[in-house]
Amino acid sequence: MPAAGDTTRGRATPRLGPGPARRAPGSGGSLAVRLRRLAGDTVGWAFETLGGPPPGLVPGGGTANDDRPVVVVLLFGATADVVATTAGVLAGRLAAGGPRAVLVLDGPHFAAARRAGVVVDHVISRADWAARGYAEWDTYLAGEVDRLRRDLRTRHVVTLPPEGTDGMGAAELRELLTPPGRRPNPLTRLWWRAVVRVERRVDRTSGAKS
Amino acid sequence: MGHLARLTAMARRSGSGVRPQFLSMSRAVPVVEAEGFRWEYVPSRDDLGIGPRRWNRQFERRLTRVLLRDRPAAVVFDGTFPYDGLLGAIAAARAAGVDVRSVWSRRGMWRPGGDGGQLARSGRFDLVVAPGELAESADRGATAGRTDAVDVGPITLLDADELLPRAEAAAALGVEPDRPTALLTLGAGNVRDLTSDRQRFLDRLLAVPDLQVVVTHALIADQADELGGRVTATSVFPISRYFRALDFAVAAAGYNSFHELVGFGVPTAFVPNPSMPLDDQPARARWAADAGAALCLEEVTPDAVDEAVTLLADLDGRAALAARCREVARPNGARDAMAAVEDVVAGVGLVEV
Repeated sequence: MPAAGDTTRGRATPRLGPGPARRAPGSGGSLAVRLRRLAGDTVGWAFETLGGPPPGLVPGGGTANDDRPVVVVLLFGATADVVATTAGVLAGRLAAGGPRAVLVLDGPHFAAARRAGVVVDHVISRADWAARGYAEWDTYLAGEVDRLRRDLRTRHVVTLPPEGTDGMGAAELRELLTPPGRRPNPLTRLWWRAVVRVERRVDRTSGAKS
Repeated sequence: MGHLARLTAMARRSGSGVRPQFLSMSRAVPVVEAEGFRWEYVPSRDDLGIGPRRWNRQFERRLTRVLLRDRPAAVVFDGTFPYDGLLGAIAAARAAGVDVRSVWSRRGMWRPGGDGGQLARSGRFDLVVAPGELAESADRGATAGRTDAVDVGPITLLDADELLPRAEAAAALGVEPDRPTALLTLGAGNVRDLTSDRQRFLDRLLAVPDLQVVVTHALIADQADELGGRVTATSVFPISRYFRALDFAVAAAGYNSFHELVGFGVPTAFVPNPSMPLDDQPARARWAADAGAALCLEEVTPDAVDEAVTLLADLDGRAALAARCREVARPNGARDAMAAVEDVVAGVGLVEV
């Protein structure tokens, strides 16, 4: 049996020595590799810029509801039971023709939301943010909400109380989750659908794995 | 949760000046809080259900913000495919003046043919650490024989002296310490349907007089089963802390459970999951069986289950397996892995690519 600390068993140990980092991740590779990467980035940029909300937003990559608006739902300070109940309600709204909700939590109950079939995201809680020694959680949160709006191509953000949707009637919930203003016009929606089709085809055929 | 357990194992053995924090796509990431570590959850591509191009762009932007905010000395990635978004974020942070080193904790035992081009990305890390494999002689995957990594011993979250005494462990699991106890843990159930396998084992285990059965509800499993009688469900983490309450186990052959069970001498029947794309569980389990340190059931037939449980229920059979486990076990490599990371940060352990 090798001694504790033996780090060479089975394979040769690479040469170690002092010096700066030799190569920045992302900058390596041949010219062809870099050109391929640039092309991939350009295609990704085009999908994000020209398309609507990302297709999917269904855990596990199930059938997308491509014409549904996306709503960001902030639920902070909730218990696991509240998260499960709220996620169930949001999933029910989707099944009834409502928007695709992305539930944003500041606590650990992601599995409860996932079980309900709702996409879940995370921001650092105010208390944890302060414990890390950072200032201005509100500024951080605003930045995170901007990120979500950009990534999900939506402007509709709803903040629920820590009790979630508990006590809300169907009409109140419907009004809360429905984006204000008019829906994108049919031509825009047609364009988004076309972009989605191309995006999915490219994703399928380009062998993009990561 | 393998990557989370390995990284936690490393983090809890870091030097006093190191402040590890976690950013993970595992919904179980909050478990690291019990070790005093801060965490953030980022939904995986699968959890978002969106395409790889969009996801990588989103991930890159998000991780870049984190790196610019926290300015870490190193990013340690544990996984089998370094994402474009990960590499892009590290490059962006460096371009913005963050002096961050990059480390790939690259577990071996990939299934043959599993390299989809990701090994070519090894050179884009300052250091590659290879968590050890007891079954490395059976490794036929793409990482076998490579010389670009610092090899360490098998990484487990706990060391043997951190396991609870039997009475304490039994109390925590809700079983009686003076009765025989078996663990049944066939994985999270997210990769294949394990219900029928589990039921077959449960039925046979409960035919052993007086035996108590502990079944894990993995923290990331999406379903829970109705259990009762002599069966106790648990979601404690890490389960290895309670191994001394167990007399034997029936388990999947993932990296963590395999190295914990064999490393801590628990007689085990491994049921490898053959459908893990980059984890050759069958080879790992076969190796243990060939070494006489465990049983391997590649097919969960009634006869195979009966034979395995009959042997495990026998005191002498268990003693022989446990003795071989002690012989093949190797020291925990987590401390060495973390030391290698700290050396890279200090500028004395950079790999000459």
